Amino acid sequence: MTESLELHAVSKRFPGVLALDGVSLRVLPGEVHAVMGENGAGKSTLMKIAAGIHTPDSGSIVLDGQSLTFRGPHDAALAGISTVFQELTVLENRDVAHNVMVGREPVRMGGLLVDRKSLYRQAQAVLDRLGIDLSAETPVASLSAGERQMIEIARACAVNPKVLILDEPTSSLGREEELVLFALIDRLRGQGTSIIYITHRMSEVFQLADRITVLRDGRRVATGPTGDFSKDSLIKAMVGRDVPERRHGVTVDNLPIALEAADLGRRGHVKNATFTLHAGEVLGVAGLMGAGRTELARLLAGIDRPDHGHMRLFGEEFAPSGVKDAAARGVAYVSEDRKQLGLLLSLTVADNIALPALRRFSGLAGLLSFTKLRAFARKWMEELSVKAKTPDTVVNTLSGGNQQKVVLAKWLSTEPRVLLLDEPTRGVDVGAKAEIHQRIRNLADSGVAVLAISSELPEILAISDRVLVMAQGRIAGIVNAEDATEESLLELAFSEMGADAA
Amino acid sequence: MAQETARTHGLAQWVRDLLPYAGLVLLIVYFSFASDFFFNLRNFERLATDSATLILVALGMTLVILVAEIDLSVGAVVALLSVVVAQAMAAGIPWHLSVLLILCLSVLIGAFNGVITVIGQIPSFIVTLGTMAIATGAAFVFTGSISVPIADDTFLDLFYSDTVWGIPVPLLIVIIAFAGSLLQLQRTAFGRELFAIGTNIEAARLSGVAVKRNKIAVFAIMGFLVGWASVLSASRLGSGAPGSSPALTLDAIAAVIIGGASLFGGKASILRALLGALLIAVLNNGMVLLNINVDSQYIVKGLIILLAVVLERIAAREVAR
Amino acid sequence: MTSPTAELERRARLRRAMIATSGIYIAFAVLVVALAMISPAFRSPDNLVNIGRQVAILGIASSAMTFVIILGEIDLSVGAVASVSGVITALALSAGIGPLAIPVGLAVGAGFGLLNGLLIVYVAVPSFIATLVSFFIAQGLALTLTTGQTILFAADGFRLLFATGSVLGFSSAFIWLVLVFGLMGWLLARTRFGAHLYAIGGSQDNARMLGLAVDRMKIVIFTLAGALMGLVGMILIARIGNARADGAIGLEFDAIAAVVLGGTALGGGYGSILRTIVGVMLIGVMNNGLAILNVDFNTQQIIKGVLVIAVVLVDRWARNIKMN
Repeated sequence: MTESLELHAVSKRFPGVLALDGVSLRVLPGEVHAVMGENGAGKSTLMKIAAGIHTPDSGSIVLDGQSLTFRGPHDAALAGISTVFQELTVLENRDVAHNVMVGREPVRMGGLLVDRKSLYRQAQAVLDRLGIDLSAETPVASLSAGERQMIEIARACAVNPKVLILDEPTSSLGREEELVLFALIDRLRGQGTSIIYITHRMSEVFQLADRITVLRDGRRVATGPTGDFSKDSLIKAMVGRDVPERRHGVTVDNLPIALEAADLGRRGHVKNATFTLHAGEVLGVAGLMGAGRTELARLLAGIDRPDHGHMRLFGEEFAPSGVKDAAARGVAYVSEDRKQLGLLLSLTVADNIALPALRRFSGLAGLLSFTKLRAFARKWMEELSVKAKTPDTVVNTLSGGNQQKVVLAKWLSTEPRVLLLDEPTRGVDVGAKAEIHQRIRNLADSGVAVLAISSELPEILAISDRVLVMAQGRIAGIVNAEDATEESLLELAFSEMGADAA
Repeated sequence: MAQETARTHGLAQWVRDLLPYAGLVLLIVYFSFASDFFFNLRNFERLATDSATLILVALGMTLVILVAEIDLSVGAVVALLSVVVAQAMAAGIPWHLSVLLILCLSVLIGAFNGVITVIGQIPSFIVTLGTMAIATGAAFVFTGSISVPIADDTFLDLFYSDTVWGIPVPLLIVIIAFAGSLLQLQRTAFGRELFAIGTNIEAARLSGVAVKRNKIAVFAIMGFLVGWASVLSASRLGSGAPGSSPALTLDAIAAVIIGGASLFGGKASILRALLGALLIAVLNNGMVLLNINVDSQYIVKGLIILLAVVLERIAAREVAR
Repeated sequence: MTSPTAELERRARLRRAMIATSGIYIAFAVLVVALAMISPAFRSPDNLVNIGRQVAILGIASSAMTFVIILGEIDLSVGAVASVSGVITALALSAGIGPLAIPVGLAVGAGFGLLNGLLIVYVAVPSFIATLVSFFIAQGLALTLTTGQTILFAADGFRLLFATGSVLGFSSAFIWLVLVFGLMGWLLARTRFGAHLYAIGGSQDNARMLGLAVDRMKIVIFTLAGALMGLVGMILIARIGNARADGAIGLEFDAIAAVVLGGTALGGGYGSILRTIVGVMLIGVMNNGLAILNVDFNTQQIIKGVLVIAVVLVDRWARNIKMN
């Protein structure tokens, strides 16, 4: 049998990072091929290249012996490669049939009319063929997340693709919906469709996949039949980066409790989170993409309201009404998305650093003292060694590392007692990274309670005293960083927490 | 902080930065040669008092556009309030109480726009379009479509021809409003927060800025300035005219955009909006002096806004590159 | 797949939202009944025909606005573009170019629409600003061309064709309205074009991902809306036999009001011609009824202003309930 899809020695570079380094992937007809790897291993980039969203810098895409170049996802779909992305693209305002058949609505009378009968008939036929128990006339607005995922898959299958790419299709599904999906995938496989399946869930891989490819740091590290792998060997293949030798491990028992969460939850994101954060420790938060780490931090920071559970801050009831309230009580959150949620890119360093504290500089008649404000900004710039000429430098012109330091300076300048850091070194060069790590340690040593989310396990191990691992919205475990290894953390991150995953 | 906004130096950006200055100078030079009546002190004095209404509204519009909103109701509200102030005086209410009355009213109208926009989560152009219809309708209903003459000489003189320290009162009000707005925007926490809101509303919210309250305040301040604009307008015309200011809203938006503001918020300058307003005022004045059909002003202004908008977008792309 | 209690809760929320949205219709029904009871003139059959004639211009403008709003945009240039199209058509007619004046009028409208579309797509200007610019230029052009005068023209055939003629007792203006409603209703509900318009209006990003031509759609919709404003301009001048620069002033607001009252949500993706017909009838009946009750035009403006804000607020509230 010839392979239906072959990605041959594909490389892709993004500014500052080599996302894929000569990765090859062969997918046979009628097989489910799982692609696994840690966060940032290159899975998404590889899929986006196959789906025609990114063009590779080098390497080729060969389908049924023909070399192809895609100018967009539409081209890939025409060639027979359909993709279901993790972010749903269902049209909320339309019914199921219009979603399944969008862009391919059958027409009659020379295109003057949409042939509604056959539109609904064809859509229903696709649904039936896939075993999806839905009427084509149902409005999407009334469907559950899982049903929407099914619609998305039906749309991808309506063209009878040779290759179907599924990017974490179960991340928003409940257990029953998962079973429906697995049956559907089986059926497609039986019909000869090749399926590339990206997932973070171990059990699914062993249940579904015929073969597995593991990526690490943009390279392919293993490919083989599922039977050749065990859970342990998979995890071993995924890890293997340099792990720092020096570890921390403050005994937290002697430290005062800063923040305490009991049974904290928010529907669909965080479940029954119970943990303590001590003043003077760095609590690393690990977990796979979508495990609920950012959502947990947002609850602690007062950005989102929890549905249940409660928090205590230094022994007092803590139910912040918003960011302002939380900040006033000494809880600061540094967002993972520096450009969208952290910075005022077109304004100056001083504007950014002083923003949460602005009102403090209002003097006579409410006028700001620029002298004080500048001095304040300069002090914090120096404190974090932000490399900018003056406080009046526009943030836009700084490097990623310096931008990140500006965001940190902004929140450190409020002198928080609890600091929540979300991916504090994302998109930051090595030098700045080390500086930021040192800074985080110093803060903890000075008595600040630090919670640091990171997708890089070595980073987690380098800065944390304890590590909290999340999986599917729940806390899978809290371990001492000294005793932890990448493998043990990843194993926790891959653990599956009972029946209802969503 | 000394800079008002970020400066990057693409070609479009240069042209755009120069536009209010160069445009103003060019217009003044052109009209000075083209008309014998343009370049003299009396005409400038007239220009200054006549443009006071526009400048006040443009100052308010600067704040509104800075936070990525718009107010389409200002022209209608000025007409309505000038009617109200005229009728209040006709009803025997002393002029100072009448002025106080419409100032309160105008702040209320502004705050109404703000609350519906922010709390109701409705685009401000729809809200203010509604307010515009209501205000226009009300102005005509109150007056039966006839101008209400103002008989109070104190009011007429004070807000048009009287001078304090040799400065005409309308000009004085403009100077105070300008200085106040400038200080407020550049030197208060509130003003700096407005820049933050306009630049990145989510980041501002996550930094603890009271986004909703600040936006409502912006609309209320707009209302306050519109109130004063109405007083000056009523005084200059000597009556409360329900159809008095059809072009005011568009002129004010034009002034702010010519002054380099971004329609997507985060970028606006009080000084440059003032220049923009002066440019529009000189254009109005000069075209009248040259006996150019008043109506072609619309086309000219439309094209000027178009130019400013296109430059703004090209400049934004230069930055993004 | 969802738990039964959650499902019940969701249904209850939807019901509350339905009641909230239908409040406007209840208010309207009360208005109609009240008018019918107070005024015999209102409930006469002649008056119904009368309302039909009055709503032709509003109806065509509103169906154009419906497309624009489903797309998720807005068009503030409607009234001014209709006015200038009417003025230029009148000038063309009085210059004696005969039937050629018709394509000229349509082209003027379509030209302004195209300008709107190009500004929105290629300059990335928000639609309310782009169309405000067109409003400015069109208004200025209309005023300049007329120099404030009324443009007279003699073209009986033209007038018969666009307004004063009658077929089976219906005025030709009304026939045009029916044709436009039919055309737009067909485009929206029965063609791929319409299906893609809804898709794009619902989510431009998703539609792009699905390979739909979002930019082309925007340009086409605005150009189409402009061309319809050309038609409105011609009906306008045909009805009264002359053209004025302020002939269709404020039409954009009435059109937005009609669309919104019909229950089409601002923000895109939802709405239909049928809803807009309901909205147009509401405004038509209201204008007519209030006029019969001697409520003047200006009071009507106030009422419409309040209605638009109220309806949009209620709609927003109802949608917030739906999204829990």
